Amino acid sequence: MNLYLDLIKRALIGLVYEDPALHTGVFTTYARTIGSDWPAHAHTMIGWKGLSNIQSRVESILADKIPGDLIECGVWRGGACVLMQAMLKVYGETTRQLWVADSFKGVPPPEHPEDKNFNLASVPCLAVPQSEVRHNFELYNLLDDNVHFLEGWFADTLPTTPIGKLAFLRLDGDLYKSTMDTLENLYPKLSIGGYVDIDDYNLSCCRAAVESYRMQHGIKEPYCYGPDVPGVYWRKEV
Amino acid sequence: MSLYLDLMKRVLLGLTYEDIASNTGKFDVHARMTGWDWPAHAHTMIGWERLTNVETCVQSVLDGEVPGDLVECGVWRGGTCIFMQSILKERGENRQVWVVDSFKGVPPPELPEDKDFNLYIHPELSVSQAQVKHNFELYNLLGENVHFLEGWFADTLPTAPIEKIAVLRCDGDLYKSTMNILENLYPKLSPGGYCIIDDYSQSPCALAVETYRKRMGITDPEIGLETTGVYWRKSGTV
Repeated sequence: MNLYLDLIKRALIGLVYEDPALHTGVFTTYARTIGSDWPAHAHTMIGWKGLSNIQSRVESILADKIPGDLIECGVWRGGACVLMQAMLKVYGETTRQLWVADSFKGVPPPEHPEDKNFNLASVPCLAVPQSEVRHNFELYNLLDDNVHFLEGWFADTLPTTPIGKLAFLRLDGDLYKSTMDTLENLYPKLSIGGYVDIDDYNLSCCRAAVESYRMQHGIKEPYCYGPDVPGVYWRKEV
Repeated sequence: MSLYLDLMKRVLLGLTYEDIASNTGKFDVHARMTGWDWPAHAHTMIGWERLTNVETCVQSVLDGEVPGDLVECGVWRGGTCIFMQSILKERGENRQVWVVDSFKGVPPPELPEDKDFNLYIHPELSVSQAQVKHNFELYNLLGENVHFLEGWFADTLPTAPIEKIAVLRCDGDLYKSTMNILENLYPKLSPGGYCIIDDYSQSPCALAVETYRKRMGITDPEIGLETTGVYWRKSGTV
């Protein structure tokens, strides 16, 4: 076990200071483990299992020397990206870039029919400005030159992004449209052997986008999921 | 620099979650770095410099193979002891850590030297042993090498089953507490080991230290920390 990564996960989910949930004011280890609540202050809501899943995927990429950068699309307070940067630092990866992509003003109102009735646009606590996410990196002493912020709606920023190759593509945009925009623009840049990780597969709108994109592009790699994986992921083979 | 120990300090001080001070309700990074406020939730109040001093002393005795355990007398929420344990864990060292406290706060002044030094009226200085143990667990650092000595120093220290000490950290505030620590434990400090006095800026504590040093003919030079506190290295051969 890597002590540094174990500690940063504990800190990022608010376990070490038993940060209460935003809505109930109560802290439970269970909720924070599985990522089922929204922390009042902690820097990620994906929980211990979500972070551990990212850790496993990134460790696999680094071990197999899969070329490319790491990206998360939809970052909230930035905690999952902070973990990725901690991993690059602790494993001495000096050339990979980390991309932090978000509107930094919350989830857009639903436009696509699949997103009808899925209105997260009115949830103000999902809007975290870029300055705050940068600040959160600094709290862990992890804001380095290899961290890049892509600010704007995915449909506007992703088509012209200067990203070359990706080794890890993490989607956390909730909506059909956000998920589809991300896959269409970035999946072609994912290296063979890289992972795509979809946090919101349990949401029907996100799932519809994933199924539709896989079908259009004949993607046959099997989904991976399990007790420690909140969403799904697969490893690109072709 | 160890990423792990750097992050331990940030988390223990509440820097990563900008933990407010209990008296002002605000987070002030300068106060937290210098150890001049009482954090509402974070696990130590000694600040960055004094934690780093503990790190330097512990690393020095480990590097120099100075025999003995690590002891803190007066632990509050246990953060400094947790930090000592993290250093042992990172280095794979199996020394004992002694966590010594009344676990019910500072006693009322008895001796004339402590007159009007009424820390006993602060309920927030009283932290139960169960809470301190729990705090170790939050960092996954409660090992079998961690021992709790509960009671007033005058009662527990004369018969404490501690044989040799490599780092002795005194944080008991009062003249009487400081004198009880030094009289009972300083003779057990190995040559090459360190004695750290947290409360040297408080005159009752400084008086106890100078009285004891004079009586025992200790001339090892005291090194002052910039924010507060002194320490010295015990001379002589093993």
